Amino acid sequence: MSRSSGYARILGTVAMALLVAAACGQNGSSNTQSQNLATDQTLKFAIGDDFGTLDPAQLNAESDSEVAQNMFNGPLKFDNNLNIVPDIAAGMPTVSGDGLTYTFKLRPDVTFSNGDKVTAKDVVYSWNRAAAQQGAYSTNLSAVAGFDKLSTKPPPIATIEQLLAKNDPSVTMSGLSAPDDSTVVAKLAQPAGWFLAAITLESTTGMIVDQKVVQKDPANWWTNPATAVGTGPYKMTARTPGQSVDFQAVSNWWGSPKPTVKNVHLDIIKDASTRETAYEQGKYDLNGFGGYSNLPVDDILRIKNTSSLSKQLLLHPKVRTTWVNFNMVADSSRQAKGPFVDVPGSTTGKDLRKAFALAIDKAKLAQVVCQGIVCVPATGGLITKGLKGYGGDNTDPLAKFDPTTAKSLLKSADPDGSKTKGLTYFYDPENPLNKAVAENLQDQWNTNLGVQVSVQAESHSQFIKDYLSGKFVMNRSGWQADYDHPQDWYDNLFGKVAGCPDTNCASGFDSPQYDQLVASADSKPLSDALPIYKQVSQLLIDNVAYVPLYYSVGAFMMKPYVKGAGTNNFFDYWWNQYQILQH
Amino acid sequence: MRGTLLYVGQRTLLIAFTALAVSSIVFIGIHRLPGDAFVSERLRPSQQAALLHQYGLDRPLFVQYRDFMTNLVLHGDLGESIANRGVRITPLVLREATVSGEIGFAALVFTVGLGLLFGVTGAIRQNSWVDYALSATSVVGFSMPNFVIATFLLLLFGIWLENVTGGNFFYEIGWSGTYGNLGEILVPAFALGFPYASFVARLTRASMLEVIRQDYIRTARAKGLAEQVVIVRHALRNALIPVVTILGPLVVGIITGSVVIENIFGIPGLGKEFVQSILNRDYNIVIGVFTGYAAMIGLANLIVDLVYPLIDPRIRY
Amino acid sequence: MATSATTVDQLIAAPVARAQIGLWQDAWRRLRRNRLALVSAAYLIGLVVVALVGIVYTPYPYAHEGVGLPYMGPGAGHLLGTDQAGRDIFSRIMIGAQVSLIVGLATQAVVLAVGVPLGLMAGYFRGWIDTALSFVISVFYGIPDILVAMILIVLIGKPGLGTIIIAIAATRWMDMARLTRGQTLSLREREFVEASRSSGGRPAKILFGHVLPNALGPIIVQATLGIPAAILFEAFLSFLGLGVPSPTPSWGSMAADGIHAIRIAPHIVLAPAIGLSITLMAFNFLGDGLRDALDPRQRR
Repeated sequence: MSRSSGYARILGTVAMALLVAAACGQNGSSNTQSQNLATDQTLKFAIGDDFGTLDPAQLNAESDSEVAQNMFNGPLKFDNNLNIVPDIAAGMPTVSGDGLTYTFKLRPDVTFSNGDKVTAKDVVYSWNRAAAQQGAYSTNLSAVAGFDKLSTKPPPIATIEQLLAKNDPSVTMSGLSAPDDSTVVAKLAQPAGWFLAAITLESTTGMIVDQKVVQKDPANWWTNPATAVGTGPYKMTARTPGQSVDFQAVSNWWGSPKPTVKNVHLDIIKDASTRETAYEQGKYDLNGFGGYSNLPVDDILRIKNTSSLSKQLLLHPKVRTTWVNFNMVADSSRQAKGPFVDVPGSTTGKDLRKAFALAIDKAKLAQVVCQGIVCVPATGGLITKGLKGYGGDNTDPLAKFDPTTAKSLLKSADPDGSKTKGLTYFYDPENPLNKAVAENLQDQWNTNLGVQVSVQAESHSQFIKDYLSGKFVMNRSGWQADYDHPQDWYDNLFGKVAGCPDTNCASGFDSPQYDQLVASADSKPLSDALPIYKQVSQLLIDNVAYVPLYYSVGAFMMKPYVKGAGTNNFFDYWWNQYQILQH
Repeated sequence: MRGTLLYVGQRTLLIAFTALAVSSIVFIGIHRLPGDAFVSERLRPSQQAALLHQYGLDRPLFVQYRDFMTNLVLHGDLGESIANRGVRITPLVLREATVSGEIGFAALVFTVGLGLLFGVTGAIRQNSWVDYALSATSVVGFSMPNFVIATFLLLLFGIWLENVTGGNFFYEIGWSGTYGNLGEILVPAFALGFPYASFVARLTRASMLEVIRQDYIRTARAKGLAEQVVIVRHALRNALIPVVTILGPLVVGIITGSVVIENIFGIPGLGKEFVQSILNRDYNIVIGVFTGYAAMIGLANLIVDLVYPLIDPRIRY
Repeated sequence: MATSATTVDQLIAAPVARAQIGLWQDAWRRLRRNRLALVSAAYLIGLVVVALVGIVYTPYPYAHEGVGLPYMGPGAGHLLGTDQAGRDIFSRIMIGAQVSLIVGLATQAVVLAVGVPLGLMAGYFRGWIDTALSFVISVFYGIPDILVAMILIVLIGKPGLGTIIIAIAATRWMDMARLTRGQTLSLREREFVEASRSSGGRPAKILFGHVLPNALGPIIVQATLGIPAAILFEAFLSFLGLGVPSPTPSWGSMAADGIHAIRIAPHIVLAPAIGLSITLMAFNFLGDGLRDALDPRQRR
């Protein structure tokens, strides 16, 4: 053997050994990751309807929000556990001692999906724009000084855009400013303990949009991929209205965690059972996400009884309460009158409301309508269980079932039955639960109280409009919380701030006491405010402003190979947390 | 040929005119309906007013109508959906009309195919047990509401068969892509078409019975032609004529049935859209769907009329 | 001279009347021999009885939820089981029978009341009535009736039995008018009408005294066959959610509720589905039987 061949052999062996070691090392270091992740990181699921809007200034539907939250960011965000944490901001804002000035410092590395850099001016622009348009959630910014000066009859969106370009004072809030490129200062008109929660609310008025892009098409920029620009980890890449929409992860996204799922494909399938069947046939990876967690009860029962499927089912409480609403105020603007109206000097209206409330066995209703699965009886007040301000189990006297008292109240308030004749309970049938509830209420009022109530369906859009303008004597009502703060409930449902008695108010209920208590509680930090909110709740109970029915539970299906997907009570976890494993 | 082209041209104009007339009627009728499509528990009246303004729904009816007609005639533009902004209606209606047309055509194939089969067999084996059985089957089929047939099929194919074959062998609920696939079309088309097969069967049987007794059939048989040839080549052709006359009403009937069938099977066609948009008070889509239907029916009738000469050479345009 | 007109009328009417009575007797005889039609008639009579009984008695209150566990199949205590809200299905079927029968019969009554007189007038007087009627009929010829009915129901606004009857009848009267018109057109040329007219008989008398009785056969057949069509139509509308409002159950709305639960409790949809199918079949067989029995071409 020559020395060269011997060396060659050693070299060769060493080289081989090194190669093997290197290869093993590769495997070893990214062992869990690359071995398990599917090569095709595409997430597919179905939603029930096309978007109403994805424009943060106008957005108000849960389903729109669940998608838009992956496209837009604001200074702060809620993490999976609903804690407020920095997003575009570098850290939590500093608050002045008097609680009036909030200072945000922004990260330097934030960009829109088209590459435009984000500066403090973008925050000021976006918030002014949202406030000026007076959309459904513009009141989230109402604590900022100068919000009150904005016109409640806003000019067309395109005009607002032009005015914003000139920094016209009619569309800007005086309390909002950007002293430098990375600082935003928000001065409040008065202290508001709920301000941070409100501007953190995902997908809505606290989120940032790109002025350069929006200017070109102020109303419809969000409708197509070329102009739907945001700071989020995903951007819209394709859309067939009414049929499907596609998103792709933004490359080199500034935030974290960096998205693993590269493509998200959404189909629009209106029927809930069809969505579920398609999911079970393997067409989709998830079901119930995107704001459509209302799987029909029959399907859930079947899923629970099928071992292979029941493991994929997740039942999670949603922050939604459903109750029966009465028309409590009779004035010239409210069309409905009805026997439940409060007349000064008489308790007839209240007694009748109480009779109707106590005549319903809420446990039985929840059992029949939801099979005890997709809802639980609401026994702790209007605010859903799990949220701050919840009264505690079985603390709401209106949730009791007491047919004897109910009947005697009815007898004294309406001895000949003439007042409670010809009543109609209205509901919107889009959610199948509403119909089942209506029929059950009808049956219980008939059996337990002896009163015949007709039920009538009205399509959702007309229903909402009518019940907020006081057209109904009795109707289904409900509320889904936006953020975990009682202000979200009490400022939107009753009292002057909500618009009662005549505007945007289902029951018409308003009283100086209510307004005072709520205003006082709103201005305090949460811990001081809670006892006052409790008094507000008691006020509503004493006035029998509602008949509590149930708290909703959402149903979600997830294939075992989808990791990181999930939901808290408010929103689905963001898509950049998901991973598709090999399957 | 020239005559035919002229005829087609005339009919096409008539179809267009009818479609316009229909959409006008519906436009005016719908706008008197209460409620509108703007949604939200949180929408404030000023907000609603702004939206109404954006869509031009606060202008006088006559102005809206004029604009609507101008757009429709000059650009074929049916406007935009009210409930879902950014959704243009013309492509929506075109797409869904194609889907409904697919299912409708497949249903028609079932109707005519099964109807002819039953009718001819019944005529050939007149008064035998086969005849009675087929007769009874078609009456049963006609009497069952199509959603009942659909339910049985769903039970059969969706559930029992699934258990037997351990997976969806044959039938998938839902719709893939724009045009679906064969597996998804078959069951709904059958449920839709079968009830009408009895009309075709009865008509075919009666007309076949008459034709079979004719002299020229006896001649053909006497000439020694095989029975099959006699039936298919001579008898059937003439027996088909009355069937073609009812094709028009058949199409209308199938469209009626499709409204229910599309809703059960979750098929994104005009029928489903119609129910949805009426419940949503999305006027623009309702008008668009109605116009789409009028055009479809007109087209179907035209095709039927063009097929007629192929069956009966005596007809000329 | 009134007297002679009356006499001539009577002279003509008599043999016509005799011929008519003969026709009806003939038809009855033929109908009696049609086994299928007889069975159907028996079933329908039974259905009417059940529906009538349902007015005063049902095994359980039909709207009461929770009389049994939900989704229970047929068994002890519940002949047809319970639905998703725990209501007794058999009781609801009984009430549904009432609804179907009422809708079927009432719509045809309206159709007859509106369509027959209009058809008679159009066929007899021709002129503008005929033109107007033909125009209306041809406009609506190509439009699927379910679309028109749905829009009508939404327009009327208040859901209920009356609304449905009006909506269905509104799409159906045209066929009856067209049939009556056609019959009138051919009958008016017949000698006895000619004679009656030339002797000064008033149009109303001619129409109702001579034309109508002779056209009655096809009209009855059409009306009878229109009943199952109306019931089917109502089932469609209820299935889509536009039918009678709760708590009144309709076979169509019961089926719609049941389809959702088809995989865990198929009996909920099967009960109304089968009820509908058999009832419609019975009406169709009966109508067919009537048509064959009244067919003057058959001389058996």
